[in-house]
Amino acid sequence: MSTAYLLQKFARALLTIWIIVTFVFIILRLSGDPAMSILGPDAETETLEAFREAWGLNKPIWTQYLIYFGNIFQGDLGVSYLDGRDAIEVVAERIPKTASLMLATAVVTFVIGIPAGVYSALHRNTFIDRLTMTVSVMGFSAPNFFLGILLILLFSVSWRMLPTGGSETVWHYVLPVITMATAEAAVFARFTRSAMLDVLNQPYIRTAIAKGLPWNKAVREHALPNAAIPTVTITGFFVGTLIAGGVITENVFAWPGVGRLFVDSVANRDLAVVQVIIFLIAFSMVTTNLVIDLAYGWLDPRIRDLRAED
Amino acid sequence: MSEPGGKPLLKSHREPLLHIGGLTVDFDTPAGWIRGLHGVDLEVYPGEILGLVGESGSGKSVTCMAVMRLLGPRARIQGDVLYRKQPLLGLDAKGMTQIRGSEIAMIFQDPTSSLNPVHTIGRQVTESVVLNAAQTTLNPSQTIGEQVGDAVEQQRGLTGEAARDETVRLLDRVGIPEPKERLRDYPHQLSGGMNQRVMISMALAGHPRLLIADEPTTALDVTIQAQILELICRLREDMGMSIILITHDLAVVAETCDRVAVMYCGRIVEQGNVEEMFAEPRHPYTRGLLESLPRIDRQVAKLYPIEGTVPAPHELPLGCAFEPRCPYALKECKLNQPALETGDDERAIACFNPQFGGMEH
Amino acid sequence: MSAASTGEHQFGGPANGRPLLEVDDLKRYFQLRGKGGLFGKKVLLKAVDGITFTVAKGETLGIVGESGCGKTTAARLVLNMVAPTSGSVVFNGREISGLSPSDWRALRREMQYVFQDPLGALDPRMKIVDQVIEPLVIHKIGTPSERQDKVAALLHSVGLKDYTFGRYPHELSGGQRQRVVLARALILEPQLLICDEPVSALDVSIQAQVINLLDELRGRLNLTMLFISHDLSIVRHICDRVAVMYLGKIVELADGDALFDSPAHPYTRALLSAIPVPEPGLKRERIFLTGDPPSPIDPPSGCRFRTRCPLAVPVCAERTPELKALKNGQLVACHVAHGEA
Repeated sequence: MSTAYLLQKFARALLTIWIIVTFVFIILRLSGDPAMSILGPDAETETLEAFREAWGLNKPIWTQYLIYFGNIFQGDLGVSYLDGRDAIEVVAERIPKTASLMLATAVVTFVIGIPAGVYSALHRNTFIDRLTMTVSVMGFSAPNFFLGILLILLFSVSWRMLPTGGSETVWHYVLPVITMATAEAAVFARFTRSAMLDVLNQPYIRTAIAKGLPWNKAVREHALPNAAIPTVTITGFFVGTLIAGGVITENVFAWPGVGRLFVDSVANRDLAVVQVIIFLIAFSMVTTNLVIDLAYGWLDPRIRDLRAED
Repeated sequence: MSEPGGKPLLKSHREPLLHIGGLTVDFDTPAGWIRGLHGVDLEVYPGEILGLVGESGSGKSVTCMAVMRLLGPRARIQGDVLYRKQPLLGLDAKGMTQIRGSEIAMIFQDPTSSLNPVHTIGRQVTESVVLNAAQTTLNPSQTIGEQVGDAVEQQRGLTGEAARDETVRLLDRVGIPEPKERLRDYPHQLSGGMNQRVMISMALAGHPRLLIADEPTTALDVTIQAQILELICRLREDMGMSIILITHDLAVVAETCDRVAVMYCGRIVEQGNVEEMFAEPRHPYTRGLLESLPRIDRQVAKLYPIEGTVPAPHELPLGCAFEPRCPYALKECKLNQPALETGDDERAIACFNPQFGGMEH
Repeated sequence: MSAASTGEHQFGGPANGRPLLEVDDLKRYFQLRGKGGLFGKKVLLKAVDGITFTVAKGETLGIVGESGCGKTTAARLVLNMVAPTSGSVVFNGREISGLSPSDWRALRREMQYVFQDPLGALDPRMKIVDQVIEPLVIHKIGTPSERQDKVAALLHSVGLKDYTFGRYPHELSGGQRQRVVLARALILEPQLLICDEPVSALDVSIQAQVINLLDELRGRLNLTMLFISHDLSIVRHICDRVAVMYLGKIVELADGDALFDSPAHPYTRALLSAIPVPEPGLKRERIFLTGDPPSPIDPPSGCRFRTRCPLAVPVCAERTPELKALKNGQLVACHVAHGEA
């Protein structure tokens, strides 16, 4: 993989992040008044004005924007209105909780979803295949919050088996992870199945068998590597839904992570914190996609070569 | 290109390498079971090139895929397939993998898609070498060919380095320039012609006695086609292989094959020695095919196509499948199926009204 | 290389009036990026590199060549599906390359095409009779009942029976579909019909049917045809003159019989010798070309064929041979053929 190729990808990534942050910046400032949100609608005009003066909110948007970006290069991403501390600090302390939840979800998703999909493809139209596919439809049909609340009602309230909220023990992970992983594993199962079926129909699998390769080996060495390519695509989407689903799930389960902070900060117009979180999300998405892009090139040699342009 | 190899011996003097008797294949489709092959009888003798000719739906590919058991679980195969007197249809999976590649090898129509796009050429050819060379050591008495004795000696215990060397040797043998450099190339980086050579080298790795080539040049340019066919014929001579050449192109058959079998709608309609068949095609379908071909070597005033279209497999007429299009059809043809009968002159024909004598056009 | 410099009769038929189609030094280059995406080296793919030919009214010109020779790009250039990099296409005396889309609409009545894949060319959701009527509707020709009659007559003449009219493309066979495509192309009574591999996707026994049909129709409708194919046997049968293309250039252009009986260019000879003939035991001289054709991205200097040519001499690497006439009128681009070695 050439440096030029990498540079190009990197440049595009940076551009994407910049556009997202700018967009959110403008939208936030146009959407409501932080002063009113934080100080309450009954606050007096002078207090509001003082607040705005203090935080530079009465300046024109473009000036605010330039100041903001100027500060970024000095490592200053703003201060939380609610908290008073650096926005970065406020967000950073929540990251570990969110990260652990996402990691657990990802592991469960891959460990259940992908093998289920592969197995279904290899045993097409058998009972297990049909069962898996039916279950998976149910899985991704149920909205995140619905499933979460349902699980809480069942396991926490009625049966008292698992805690309702918070994140202290391992048991606290069970329900939120199930909530998020169900839909994701379902999607992976269906997609992997479809990708495998596609690959199994390809002429080169027939060639592998014709060579005298036993079926198992043909699946392992020829089918799986090719099926991995489209599966990697949806991993990109997966990270996106993980983040979005994470916000909802964290709120349903009172999980003390970035998602919860996000909702609170937006409600309160705590601009700096919201910006930092957006930055973080954008950065994660873009990095993920960058990694996936590079993974493509590694997995599929055809992508590394010539592209025609007119 | 070599001429058809020598005068054919009478059937009674030779043991067929491959014997197919009453091969019937049914497919499980959403519309129910549909018959694709209706009792095919075919024999391939050692050292000959047999052409298997037909249009779409003729069953020429299905026949060979059935022999190799590549049709998948939705196909029901009945009949006899004997390879060196050993029945193949009843073999278990392990037995079949031993046959494939080392005894009977197959190459396919679109070489670039028949190769794994994410593996290098080197890896794929070496896979064949390791696979089929190892099996040589398992059944030494079954796979030693007369001409390849010392090659087999070399192949015993073929590991990393030796396998790679053999790979390079094979690539060179099929005419790939700079074979060492090609080891790290991927299929999409090579042309169709080169990829077909790669496929051939993979097929040859186990020194098979029978090579089945399913439309190996249909997707290739005509000058490349000539090269590949010449390669196949040359290798046949060097290695004493038998070849089944599946094609829709009668001209290719004329130039390459010793014997030919013509298929229509899942049955063999005519079979025999190539020179005799072309001089005097007896089945109306064979005649029709030959008469409808435009010629490169002379101007023909008019083409004489076969009227009508090939019926779909689920819509076959009751009697002879060709009857609706046949200019010589008799009343009997509508009612009964003609059976494939072999005459003393070794011509087999399935027809109630075969035509004798040369063609008018 | 313009028609004027070499005499019109060598390029197309008797000189009674202008040829219907005149292509002059037509070029089409594609910009490609090499490895490295945005920062990769820019590279030029010369798909069509200066072709010149004419087609007289009522004539059928065949263009043959192997994959990568540029024949399909040439067809698309004539039809304005792709804009030329340079050169001109003159139809009925009028320059048509680079015409605006609205000007082109009127021209589409005169110039129709039939391509290789009949299933892809037909709308899967329209009955075939509707698809053949559609051009009449678009160009506002005739009353509805006149249109019905016209379409029925044309569908009959291409050999389709009434029961097929109300069917959808997937319900017809390959041969029937191609007949529908043909009917749709001819319903507007165009002057020029461009065929690009019209029978390659069909079964052998059906190919002859469609070829006969084309033969009959062009006689009856006095069609001018540009017939592109890799199958030289068919081209011999149906074409009056033939152009042989190699890597974007025309290497030989001659009357059908002259080309097939006494090919002047080494590539033509090799091409013809590679084609199998359905006559066992026929002794033929086989010219085997080594290796693959070079890439059109980096063609050899001088004559592009020289790397595979059995007759190559030093001058072949120095100068690109021009397409010019031999004593018998055959046009050949080869130094050796012209005795310039």
